[in-house]
Amino acid sequence: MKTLNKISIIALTSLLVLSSCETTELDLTSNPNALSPAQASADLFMNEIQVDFAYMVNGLNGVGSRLTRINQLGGERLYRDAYSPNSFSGVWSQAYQQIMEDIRVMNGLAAESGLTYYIAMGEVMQAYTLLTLVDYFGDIPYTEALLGSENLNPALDSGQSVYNAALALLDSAINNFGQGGAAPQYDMYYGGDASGWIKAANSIKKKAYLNLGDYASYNSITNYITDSSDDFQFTWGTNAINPDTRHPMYSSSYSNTGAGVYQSNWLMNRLMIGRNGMRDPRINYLFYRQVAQTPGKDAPADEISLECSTPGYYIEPHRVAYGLYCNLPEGYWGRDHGNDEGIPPDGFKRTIAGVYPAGGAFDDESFQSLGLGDGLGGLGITPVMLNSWMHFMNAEVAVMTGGDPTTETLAAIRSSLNKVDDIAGAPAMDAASIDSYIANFAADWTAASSLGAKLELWAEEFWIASQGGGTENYNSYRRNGYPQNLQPMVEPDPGQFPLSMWYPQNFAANNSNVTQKSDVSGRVFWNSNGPAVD
Amino acid sequence: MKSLFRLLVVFLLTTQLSFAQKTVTGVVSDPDGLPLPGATVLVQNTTTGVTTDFDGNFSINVSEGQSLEFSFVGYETSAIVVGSGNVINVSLSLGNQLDEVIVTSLGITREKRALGYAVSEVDNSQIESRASGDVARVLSGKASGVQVTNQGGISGSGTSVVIRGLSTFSSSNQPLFVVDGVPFQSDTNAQGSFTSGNNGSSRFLDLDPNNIESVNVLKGLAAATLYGSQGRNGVVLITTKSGTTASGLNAQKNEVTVNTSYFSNELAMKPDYQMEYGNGFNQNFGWFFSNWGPSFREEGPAGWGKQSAINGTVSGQPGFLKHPYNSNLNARFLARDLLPLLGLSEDSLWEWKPYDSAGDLFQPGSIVNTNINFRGQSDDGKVSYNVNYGNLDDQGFTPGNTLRRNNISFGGRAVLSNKITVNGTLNYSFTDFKSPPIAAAYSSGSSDSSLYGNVFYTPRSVSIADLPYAHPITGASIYYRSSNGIQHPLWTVNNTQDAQATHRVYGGTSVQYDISDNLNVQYRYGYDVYSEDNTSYQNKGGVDGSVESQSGFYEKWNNTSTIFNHQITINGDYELDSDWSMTFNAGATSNAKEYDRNGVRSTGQNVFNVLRHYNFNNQEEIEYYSRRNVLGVFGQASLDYQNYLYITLASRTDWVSNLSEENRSITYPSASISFVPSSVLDFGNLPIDFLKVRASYGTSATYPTGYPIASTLNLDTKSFQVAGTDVISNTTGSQLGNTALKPELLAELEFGIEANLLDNRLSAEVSYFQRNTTDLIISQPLDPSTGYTSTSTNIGKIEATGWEVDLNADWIRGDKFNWSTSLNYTTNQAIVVDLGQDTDQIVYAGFSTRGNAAIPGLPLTSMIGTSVGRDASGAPIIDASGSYTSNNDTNYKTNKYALIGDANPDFIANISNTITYGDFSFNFLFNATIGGDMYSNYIMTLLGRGITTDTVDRELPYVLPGVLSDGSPNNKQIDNATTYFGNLILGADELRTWDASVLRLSEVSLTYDVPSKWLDKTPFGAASVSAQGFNLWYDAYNTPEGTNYDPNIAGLGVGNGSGFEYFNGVSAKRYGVSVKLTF
Repeated sequence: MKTLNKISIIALTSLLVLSSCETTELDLTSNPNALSPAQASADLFMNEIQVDFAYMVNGLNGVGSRLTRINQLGGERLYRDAYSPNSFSGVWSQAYQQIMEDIRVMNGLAAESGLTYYIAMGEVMQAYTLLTLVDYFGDIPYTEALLGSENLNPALDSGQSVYNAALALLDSAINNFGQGGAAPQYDMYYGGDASGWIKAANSIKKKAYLNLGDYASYNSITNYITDSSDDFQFTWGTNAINPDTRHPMYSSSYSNTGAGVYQSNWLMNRLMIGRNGMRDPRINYLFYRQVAQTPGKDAPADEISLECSTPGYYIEPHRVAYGLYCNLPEGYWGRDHGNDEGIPPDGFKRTIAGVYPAGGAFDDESFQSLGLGDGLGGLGITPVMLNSWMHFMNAEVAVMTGGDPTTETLAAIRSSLNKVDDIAGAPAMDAASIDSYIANFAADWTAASSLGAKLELWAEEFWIASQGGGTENYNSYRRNGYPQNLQPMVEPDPGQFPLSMWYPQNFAANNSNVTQKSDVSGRVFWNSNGPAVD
Repeated sequence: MKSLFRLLVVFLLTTQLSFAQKTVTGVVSDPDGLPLPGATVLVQNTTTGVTTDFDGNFSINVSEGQSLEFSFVGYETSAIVVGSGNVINVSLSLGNQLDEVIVTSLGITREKRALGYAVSEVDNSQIESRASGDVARVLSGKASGVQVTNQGGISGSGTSVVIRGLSTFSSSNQPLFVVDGVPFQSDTNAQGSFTSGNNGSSRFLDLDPNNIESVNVLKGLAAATLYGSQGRNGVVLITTKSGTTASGLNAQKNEVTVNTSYFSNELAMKPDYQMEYGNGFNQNFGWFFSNWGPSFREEGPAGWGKQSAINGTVSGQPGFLKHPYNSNLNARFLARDLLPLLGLSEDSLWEWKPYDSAGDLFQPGSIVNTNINFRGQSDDGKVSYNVNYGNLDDQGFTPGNTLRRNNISFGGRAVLSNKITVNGTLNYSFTDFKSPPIAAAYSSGSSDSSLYGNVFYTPRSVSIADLPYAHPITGASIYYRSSNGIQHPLWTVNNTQDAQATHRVYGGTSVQYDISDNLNVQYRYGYDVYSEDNTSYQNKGGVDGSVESQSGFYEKWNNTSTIFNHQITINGDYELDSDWSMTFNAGATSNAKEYDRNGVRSTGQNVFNVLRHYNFNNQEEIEYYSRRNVLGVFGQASLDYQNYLYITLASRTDWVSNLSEENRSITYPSASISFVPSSVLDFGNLPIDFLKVRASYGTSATYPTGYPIASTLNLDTKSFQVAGTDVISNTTGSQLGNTALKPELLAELEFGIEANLLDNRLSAEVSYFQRNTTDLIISQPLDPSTGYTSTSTNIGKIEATGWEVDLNADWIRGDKFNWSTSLNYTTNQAIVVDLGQDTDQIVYAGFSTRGNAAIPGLPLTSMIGTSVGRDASGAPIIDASGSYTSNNDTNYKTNKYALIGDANPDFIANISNTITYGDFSFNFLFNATIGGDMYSNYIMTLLGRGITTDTVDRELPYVLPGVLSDGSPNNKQIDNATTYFGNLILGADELRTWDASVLRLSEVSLTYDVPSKWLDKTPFGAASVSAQGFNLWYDAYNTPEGTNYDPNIAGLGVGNGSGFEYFNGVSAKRYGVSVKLTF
């Protein structure tokens, strides 16, 4: 019996020891559910950076375009609440934690392998990101940013110093693109063409100099985007699921349950009015109408799907700008600036984004209810910097330096018309109508009695040419105050038009070196003497 | 040689002195057959005596004719005259109730009077034959300090158990379950989060409550020290019937017990629908979500007679409108020429009347529950066994919701020799849970086809049952709303499902070797493996959610979770001198937990309703793996001075595998003291039968889960496409690995008093605790400009305090008539004291702008969200349109969202009454949960959409109480839709928050025990029949009357969040009968 006891004790002890080998391992600290940073690849980083950059540009364009009435600003009646700190948390993360941190880590890998082209692409995207963040938020972290645990509360750098740093990055990028390094597997912007990137870098420098009011430096740059074939833009795809590669403007308009956003009544009205009696030929490219008539205008009032079409809905006197407040005829069914009403079941009636730039449908006036997959399926573009915009900026510089903006403005409009016309998958625009539109514009331009009236026309055209963009319009609007006759908010007293944005919630709340702004009336450094805008 | 000589002397002396003496052996056990170690066996009228060993065995020299006196604290002393036999087995009956012996940590039995901390006990009579198959829900209300929250009334849905309130916000606050001495996994692996998925059972659902013998709840840290970090949230110690097999002659005779029940399972939370107004807005008809349309009367300012749409006539009867499918649905969804396939035509009309719009959908389900138990032992009492089989078939009231469970368990125990005892249990369970999706829903649909969201606010003039739900050709969802913007609830029921089928094996084996009568060594191996097969699918053609969901998806994955637990202990029991005795336990343990998730998610269905991966266009992996090992050594020593003063000291040191080497280990000690004045002091004429005071100090630690110190890099194989080719990408991980992370520390001080008064008619136990949590492991949000968005770090302090009171009164003690009442009362509050330098608000559950937040100086259960703008005096500020303003500006400037409530109730009280008369007994359990707030999407939507009787008074204008921006009293009149829809649905979160106080009749039962004389001629030893009801009545009296709201809902899932409900749970009521037979 004793022997048996001994045997069983030995057996038990060895069982414990043997079976415990795995259970006693105490060094299980690395995460098997993800790669470790040492396994990174510069090419794979470059892919992610380019896609994230497109999403970030698109997101910030959306802010600028809604504030400037290119797209419809909805949901809030007060400018203060139009964008809350929380609404910028996503873009802040995208900019720093994704794009710039990925660039920082990728640069280490690229430097080891002499991948100057990669480094240069990163520099351009980082410079654009920094400039744009300053344009929207003012002072931002730069020198103390991206230090990880070494600094959990990066201090702010002045907008001016970040601008300087971004300009230096662009110079470095231009130099690096000149090194002849290999392009990454996917160059989603210029397909491996370094000269395109150099033009983009120079164009971004020019727009920075324009914001700074440094016209001499602006004019000294000549190798910039002077042809639409060099436009700095991202091309989306048509895959809806896993991954979703569609233009975000398309996704929000073309769905099985109807459109999720409204188009801007101001912009549609602007295109309907056109020039000198001629409707803008871009209207059927930019907008698609799902119905031919609008309730309360050319169809009977319909309190179910367009409540404001009911007679007496707006009690006089309400401000009448462009004859708006509620509805436009001919099925141009959008919403006014600042409309915060609930959403009626009009998703298959309201006007949706067209073929340009969202990759939707060309308005062939068949008035269909469109949904997922219709039109080009999302194969659109997000512009970062376009040839037409460079012309508009050149015109502004001409004015500021005492010159004549006419030539550049006309070139800008022609470039925009061609750009819209060139979108694949839509009928070609009648060449005569392009010429005709420019001629009619020229007639209005000539008839404009003052520089101010000309600038109004100039700005309206800049706006029309900027569908899909918005950041440059927000900058331009703050620089010069045109167009001055934009549709006001439906709320009579909406507060100050935002001259810069609330700091993002995840920035202001988590960084002890940052204090949230007291309002949105603060101007960014280059705009300290800007005009009054609302 | 010397010792041999001594032995010889002793032998000679004894044989000479007591010639007639012989050695008597035996076992002393309790009424359940459990051996009583340390019981005193005394030869009456002498000082000769021995104590029993760990297995209750004794051996004593005694003469025939002398009496042996058996005594043990808490039991009636018994005397037996020694006869001719050499074996005397004794079962002691229970004495004073408070002097009972109870199971404490690691299965160590101790007298309750010796414990310096609180332990609650629940016996099987309070657990078995219940309508819920979920042991935690059955425990609800039965122990003080324990708060049980149902995720909802879906059968098989998760359950949150929190003991003594929250102590942390980043780690789990759910207690450790220990079944028959082995740690038992009680995780809730919900499918997705509360916004998508949300279905998932809490794995204690795999236990059959009918197989439970008893439950002890260890509440404090001192009580659970030996369990280490796992015991930090309290321990639910469950002893199953299979784990109670005992040796000894008093173990149960061979018997079979059959317990079977039938219950009806109904929707309790049914709104009182108003019958006067139908679908529309501003008294105008429209196929909307809302029910602010015309009235069902023809006349009057809101009458349908004014509506041009309601102009149809059927058989001369006016009051009809065009059927929604021919007036309304776009050709994109339903071409007109397909109407005949649905039995409709272009002339089909729809009657304008109130329908039983949602009521048809919820049908009472049934619960059939059977349990068979076999137990017995060998003739010599050395081998005993228990076999238990349980079957549960629970049909929910929600269509598509079922829970089926089969349990089989075996337990056995054998005394192999005098020195070795082996013990083992083996359990197998299969739990099959199915439910339609019930994730968060809002006032207009949901992101995950959540069924409830689309049902409860169905307009009164719409009938779910009378509208075909599927496109006749494609099978896609069709419904009444213009643009088809709502998913038909019947489509959801018929085309979606979440399911979890879980095979589980668990149990343990222990081998004990008695080194001497005072010392033994025990090795215990515990295992618990479950394999959870999850399925979640939706056919193509849905309306809710993303393009992916609408394309149809099919997900199948398996979660295999394994715990291996080894433990070796050495246990001693010594009398130091006549006053002092000591027991000690020392040991080492290893605990390994491995969790492996594997599966495939497919999207893009081709052929409708074919649910195989090959039928889908895209496949993605579902994968997650974690393993964590914890090693521990522990020791405990208990000193007993003259049975009235007890001191226990314990300590445990752990090493954990997912922290860096220098922060891997931590030691946490505890000490407790119990003093029984009633055993030494004379209370004179005071009616005090028993009095005990106790105090304890305990510590514990929380280890992080996952891999918090690792920095990672993400790889996405489908980041984008270029020319139709998938683009692969890298991106830096968003979590900053923190190698300095260390365990979170908890320390608790507890005081208690226990007393029996008035001939033990009245008993009371009161406990107070104060618990501090420091070095909180926090997922600290970082400014992304650092390059990261979060890091795990140690900051801050939480201080929790609470009271627990248990009272019991035997009002009437008679031969036939008995009446007793017991009450338990719980209150606790955790206050955030500090959050470190970098932040003063961390949202830890819910949405970042509306959720539970830790804010220094405020309760941990605080709820934040958007608030109403107020003037200096606190009056709401009304805007120019007559609605409440919101307080955004302040929120923005402070980086914070405003406090909108506190989810923690002020107190919870449960009153149970038992009245017996002869063979009848009547019992009810009444619960009062007072205070605590609830953000409710359910109430918001039902009122905001104008559905319930609360909104029927609607034709006169409203003026909201408050002031205008100039400070004058508000005089702006607004209409019903603006008041309810505009403010409740579109307004600040604060307006959607209600006081969640609730009174509830939790349980009521009437039982009849068939008299044993009637059973004499039957094979049955005992029989009883019982009628029972659960949650038959409740009233959340501060919520709108017509909503019938039941706030016992964990809307954020089983976790640390509380006080938010997103239409993802409605409560059930159950009633039925059960029969118990023993033969």
